[in-house]
Amino acid sequence: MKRIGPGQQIVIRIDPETGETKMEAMGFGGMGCKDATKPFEDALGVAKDREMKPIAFRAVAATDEIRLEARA
Amino acid sequence: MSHMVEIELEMGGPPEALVRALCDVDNRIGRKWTKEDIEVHDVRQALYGYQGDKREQHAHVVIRRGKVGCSANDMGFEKKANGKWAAHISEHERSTHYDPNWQKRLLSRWAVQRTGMEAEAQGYKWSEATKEVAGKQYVFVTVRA
Repeated sequence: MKRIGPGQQIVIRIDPETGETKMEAMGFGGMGCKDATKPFEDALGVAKDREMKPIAFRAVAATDEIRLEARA
Repeated sequence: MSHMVEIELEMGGPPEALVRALCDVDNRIGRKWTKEDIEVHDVRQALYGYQGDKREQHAHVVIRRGKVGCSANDMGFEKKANGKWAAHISEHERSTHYDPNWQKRLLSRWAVQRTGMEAEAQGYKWSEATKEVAGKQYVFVTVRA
């Protein structure tokens, strides 16, 4: 099942000199962004310093407050 | 925007992304490597020094000394039990062109190619562009449906 739909994209920014890499999911609502980026995170290495943007928190807060606390 | 994560790169996965990255990165032979320059083996092979002497190291992905540079030793990448690639680059090569900065450039190119391969495997489109952010050049890989 495809996890990236129309209007959604994953953007990976790589510093070509240092290898510093950041991944951003754009255009997603709710926690679907994590499902979309997970295969790419697993392929590239170890994910750290995850930052959830407000649009994701709002969607989760409406359905599952415990998950929001666990990820905050 | 809804989600940002920093990734600590670890070179692993199938050899194809590594081979693609080696074909992208600079070297000291005056032209880019091609797939024909790079050996890929299911069973790791011995590496040789510049005088044809057999070295202790073995590797699954090998660039023979004549393709590494003048008076060079073989360079290889060994797939470890944890699925990650370990580079075998001799001290001489590390002190010439293939230093830690080169290794970071290779890692960066691997990240681009590994992302592209994952996108292709999942049926997505991907593109690569270099853009300047705050006076610094970055490579942006975009994956979309």
